[in-house]
Amino acid sequence: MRKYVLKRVLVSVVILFFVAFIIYALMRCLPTSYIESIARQKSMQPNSKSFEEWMAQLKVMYNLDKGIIVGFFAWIGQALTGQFGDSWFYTVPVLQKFNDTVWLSFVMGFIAFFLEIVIAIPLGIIAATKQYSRADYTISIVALAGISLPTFFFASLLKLLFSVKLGWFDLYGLISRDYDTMSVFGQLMDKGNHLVLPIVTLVVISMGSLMRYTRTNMLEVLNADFVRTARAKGLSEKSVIYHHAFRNTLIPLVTVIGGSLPGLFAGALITETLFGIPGIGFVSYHAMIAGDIPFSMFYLVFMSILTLLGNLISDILYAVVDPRVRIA
Amino acid sequence: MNKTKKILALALCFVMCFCFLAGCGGSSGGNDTLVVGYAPFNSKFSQFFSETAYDEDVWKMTALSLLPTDRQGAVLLNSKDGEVVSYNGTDYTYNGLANCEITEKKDGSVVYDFTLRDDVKFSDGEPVTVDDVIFSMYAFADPTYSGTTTFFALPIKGLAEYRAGVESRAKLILATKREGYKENEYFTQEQYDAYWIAFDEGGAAFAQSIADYCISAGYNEEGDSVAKCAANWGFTLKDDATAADFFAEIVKKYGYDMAAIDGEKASDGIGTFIDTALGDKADEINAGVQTGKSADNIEGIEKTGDNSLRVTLTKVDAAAIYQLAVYVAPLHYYGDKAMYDYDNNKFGFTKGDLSSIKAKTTKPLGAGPYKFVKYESGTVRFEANENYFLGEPKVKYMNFLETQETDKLNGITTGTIDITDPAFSADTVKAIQKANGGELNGDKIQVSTVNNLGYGYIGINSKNVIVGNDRGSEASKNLRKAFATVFAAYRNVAIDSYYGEAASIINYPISDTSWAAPQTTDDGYKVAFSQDVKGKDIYTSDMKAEDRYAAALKAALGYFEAAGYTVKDGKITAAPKGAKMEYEAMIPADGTGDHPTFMVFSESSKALEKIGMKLLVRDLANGSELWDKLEAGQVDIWAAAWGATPDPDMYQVYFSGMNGMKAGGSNYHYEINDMKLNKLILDARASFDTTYRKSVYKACLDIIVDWAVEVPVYQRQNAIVFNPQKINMDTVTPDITTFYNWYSEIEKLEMK
Amino acid sequence: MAKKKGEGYLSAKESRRIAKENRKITDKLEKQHKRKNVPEEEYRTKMHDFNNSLEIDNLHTYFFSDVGVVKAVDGVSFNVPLGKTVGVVGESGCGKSVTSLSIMQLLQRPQGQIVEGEIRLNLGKKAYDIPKVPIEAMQKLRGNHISMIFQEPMTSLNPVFRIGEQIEEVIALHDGEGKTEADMKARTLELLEMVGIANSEGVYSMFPHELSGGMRQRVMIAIALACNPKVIIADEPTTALDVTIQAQILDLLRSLKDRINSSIVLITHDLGVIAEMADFVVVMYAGRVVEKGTAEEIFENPAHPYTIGLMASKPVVGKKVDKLYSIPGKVPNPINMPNYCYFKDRCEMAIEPCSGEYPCFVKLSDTHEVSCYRHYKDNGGEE
Repeated sequence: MRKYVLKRVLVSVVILFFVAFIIYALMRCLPTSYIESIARQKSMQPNSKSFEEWMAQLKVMYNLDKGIIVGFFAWIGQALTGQFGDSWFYTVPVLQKFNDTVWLSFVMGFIAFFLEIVIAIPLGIIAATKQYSRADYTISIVALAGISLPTFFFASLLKLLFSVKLGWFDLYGLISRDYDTMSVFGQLMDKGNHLVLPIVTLVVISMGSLMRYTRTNMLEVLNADFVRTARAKGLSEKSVIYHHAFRNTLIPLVTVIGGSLPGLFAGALITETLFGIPGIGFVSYHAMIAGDIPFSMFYLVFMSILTLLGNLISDILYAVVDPRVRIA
Repeated sequence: MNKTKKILALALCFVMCFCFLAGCGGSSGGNDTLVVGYAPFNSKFSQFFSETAYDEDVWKMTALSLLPTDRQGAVLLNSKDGEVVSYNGTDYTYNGLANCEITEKKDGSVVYDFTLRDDVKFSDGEPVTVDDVIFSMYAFADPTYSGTTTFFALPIKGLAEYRAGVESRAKLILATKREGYKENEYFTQEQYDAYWIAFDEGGAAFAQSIADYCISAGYNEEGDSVAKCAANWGFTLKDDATAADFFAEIVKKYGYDMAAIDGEKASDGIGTFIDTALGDKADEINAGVQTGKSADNIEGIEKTGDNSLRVTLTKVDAAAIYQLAVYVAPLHYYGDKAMYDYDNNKFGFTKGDLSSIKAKTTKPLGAGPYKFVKYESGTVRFEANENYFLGEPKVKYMNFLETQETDKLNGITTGTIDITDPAFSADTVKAIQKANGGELNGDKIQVSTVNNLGYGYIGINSKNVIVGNDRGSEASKNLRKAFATVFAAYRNVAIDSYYGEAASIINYPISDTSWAAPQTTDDGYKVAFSQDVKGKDIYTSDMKAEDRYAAALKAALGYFEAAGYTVKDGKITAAPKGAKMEYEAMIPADGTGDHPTFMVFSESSKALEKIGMKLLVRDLANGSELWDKLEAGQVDIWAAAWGATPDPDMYQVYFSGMNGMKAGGSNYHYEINDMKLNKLILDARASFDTTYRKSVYKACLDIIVDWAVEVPVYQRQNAIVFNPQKINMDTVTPDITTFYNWYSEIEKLEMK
Repeated sequence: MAKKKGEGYLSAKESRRIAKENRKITDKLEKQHKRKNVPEEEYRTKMHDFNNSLEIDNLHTYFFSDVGVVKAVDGVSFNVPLGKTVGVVGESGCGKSVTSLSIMQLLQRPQGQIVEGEIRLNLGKKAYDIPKVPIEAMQKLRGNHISMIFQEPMTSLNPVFRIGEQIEEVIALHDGEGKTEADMKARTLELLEMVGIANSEGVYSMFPHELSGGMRQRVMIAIALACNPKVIIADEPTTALDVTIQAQILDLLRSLKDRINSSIVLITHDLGVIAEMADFVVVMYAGRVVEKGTAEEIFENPAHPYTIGLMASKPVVGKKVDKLYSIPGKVPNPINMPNYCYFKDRCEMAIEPCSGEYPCFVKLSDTHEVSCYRHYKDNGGEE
């Protein structure tokens, strides 16, 4: 196992290198780079230097006068020492902005993830064990509705219902106007209050697929021979489903769940935008469309690392959970 | 479903309900925070380095400028002790930090004398002094300054030398002290000789002016000799001395030191006389050359007292006052007090090193009504400045909350925000009316509308839409006018459908917010492009819409013909040399036709097709593509909007680069090439008389319209929306205008 | 031009009608089945012959499918004497497995239901009527008094649990009182040795995928034996194994038979296996028993044309034939069974009365019974 992990990690490093290069090259090739928009804006001011002059000056300032490959290695050199530079769009150092925003997304994602699992898996199992019953149909319809609803639609619907019509929640934002005057506990509750609708959105949108996945796998397992053997042994139905059958369903579930751990850091762009939560999804999107290279590079490379890690975790978990699979 | 699962499900429900309740207490209540709905911030909260309008608003809350602006955008010069200006029938008192006296000198230079109040403090208690002002100015003027403010482009005396080791040739030649020409890279023997000839000639005139002054002032009598006058001036000369001799004495006394020599001046300085003597060569000799050594200070900025300073500009620039009235940045916060020593040319930071200022970019501090607390969780938090010179603001806290455009109105009705600025379109109007139950200003929402500082237009590039090679020829102008006439006819229907009441059609390429904008009641006001090639009006007041379109089309055909197109059976069949049968119009309408001017293009295209001219309408999904193409000079016709400045100076956009003069930075849009226009623009710049300037600008506008490079389309309105249930509307700034916003008197605003 | 409706085509109205009827019946039966706390009296019964371990009496097991009612087992009766092996023979689809599943109540609910009939299980002091036994009580019987060995050893074991765990599970469930873990482990190892697995300690901690098919089947047998059941049902235990292993498993079963004193119901389509193992034979066709008797009687004197055909189809070593004999025709459609003898359409020896009602059982000897018109006394009996 140790050798396997080591080998995977080494391969991941190589993959990461190329991924980072591709990202960097793509960002450099964006049609309107960050400095172009600044230069344009600045050259339109009265009495200002011309566009070309601004471009020349800014290019030097932002290290964009070097070619793509040289620039990339410069970035790597800096990155390896932990210096990711200042975000062009946000002014503050990349790591600082990232740190400020990612934990929020992580907490949101984690809670949504937890709720999703806790709701989707039992419902999926129920749907499978009571196939074709009313419960099954209800659950399946709910799951399908959840998958089919576009995030923006559902989020807007929630906002309309709970904020505009009922007035239970603030329309958007992370904190209320009196946030600074609250106690620590009050502040926590305040943030929590503002995260309720976004988390509900996330849970409803994503639990559908997990529910269906669980149901499908469970059905497959329930039709397997060993379940019949378990029944033949005289085990109670509960034991058959939750001990024997579920343990087998767990195999694909765990790999799917383990592989989605990186997603917790990715942030939910649309949800965050619609609810005004300054999480990493929202922040990174704006940085990327502005062509902010330091921030985007850091964020995308971070996501690549997490994805590779997620794959590795998935594979390892698969071996842990399924005794038939043994890693060489 | 068995028991445990049921219990689990119920428990989950309870957890969620609890979360709902937990928050229920916190959202409403709290009367001491005002929440304003804004747009995403870039954290560049510094007057030195902000780039977006939103970041600007943030630091402006914390800063105080030298001179205030009144409701019409004019800079007030006497507000130190309160200045009263009438607007819309009401007298308003404006209070500012300083007074400013502007004096125009005979030699063309302008002196600005600022006198500050001595009782104003920054929000941390430190007093605001003239040292802070000087520090701020030096920061803006620093050679490494890379922000968007163009303070450094002002013609301040000595600024170029300070910034770039630029020395005028004249100074360098003077510095040789007439010891003989030595080969160097800054001036030639010819220039050297020419200078000294002029020096002598000008010097003689200078001395003569002293003598003349003595006579006119009564020290001497008419007809007295130079020597006699010089005697009264403190110089002993031979009886038959000439003015030149007089001057020689002066030079002997002071050496080749212009400033010292000027100490003797009676009217103009010696420099002016030398320039007169140089005549045509004046520009050449006075031009700046890079010497590599820069000056240690800016000559034109002088501290004249504990509370006053003087800024000298080398020429008249009516718009300069807007830049000179800087927002005062605290020396002790952005710089280092220990590094400030005015007399020894130390101004609070090392020249060329703005890092101490950059370091504070995200945390502004100033003497404004509010203090910046933090920017966190998408919210900028402000706290009232108890040291504010107009009194501590009534509302203790203020939040600027990042908001999506679609949430702005709903945010007001749900109480999440109290003030915001939604895009004012026909849909917004409907939504507001619905929320209020019918009216625009009601119980739920109050609206204040102002004209936007800017206007929408259609641009036609004169280099691309041209007949032959001359963009200024009548033929080329006629070609463009053909298009312009058709476009102009469809403006009304397009803007009505997109903006409804929220925008109006303008007929001159200038924003209605400017004092120089021609009013409909003015003489000579014409609807844009409403005449045919012979100068006759094509519209009558009783025409229906269909008739108007037909009339415009007919006039366009006339223009095409005049431009050289072959016309047969009411259609054009061939283009003259250099022109085309097909032109392209670009419009950044998100790919969906979402742009106020889109309808103009689409309808015009259909109409032009009828007379044989093809107009391709290209909808760009990516707006920045338009700018790229404009820069590359590849656009024929396009639609966009200009943002305006309070001063109507037209240099930036319309000044053409001809005869060695540099074109305005945005001239490449239209590529106007008109000497007369250039001269008019310079004239208008060089005067402070608004009546004169307005008439000059009218002449400019007529030329621009004649060139048919710009079809002015719409002037839209901006709206500020308030929640009257949270805000005491009586305390909001009265008579909000484009230049005097809801936050201009923020200290008076009260919440319910 | 209208398309010719294919056989088996159902219009929407028909399908809805079928579904509605099915639902009505199955709902009623399911409700009955799912009751909790049913008093024991409801399913207690008396054995007709105390020497029988299991008495199957007129069992009807139907499947309520979307295309109609499939009468998988349509009136099957036979007895399983104590300590004897009964072999159930028949071709695929004749209802053998369904019979065995019915005995264990392992039918695929809600479609599969025991509609009629009794299955009396002899528990020593009392007897239960299995179709009436509710789920709770059935779970106490399964693995304990009746156990089953399935056809596919490769998939019958749970791949994520170890062998030892899976065997201990049964022991802990039914026999666990008073036993410590060490006790159960010891018993498990004992069982493993009993089924002929030499490396019992090693296999104890192995996963099923680490064992071969034969070994897995042995483990299945061990599980089946763990609680000393009265009846062991072996549903084609060797079909999935190759011949050599088959021989071993059969040997094993035979040796166990002697040791454990359970009755075995051996279901297979392999006549050779029957010949080796069975004491009694039951021949099934299309859901009904067509002939039953001792092994000798069936093999020496097959009475039913179907049995005769089966015997004839056996390839014999040393006999040269041009073509192997096979019974012509095919099994009738299980949904629309005719009301005459099911075998009539394929029977080479059909006589006139065969077109009448389905024939009753005719006793040829004490133990030999056949359901065929040819053996009716009035017919005089033709061989």
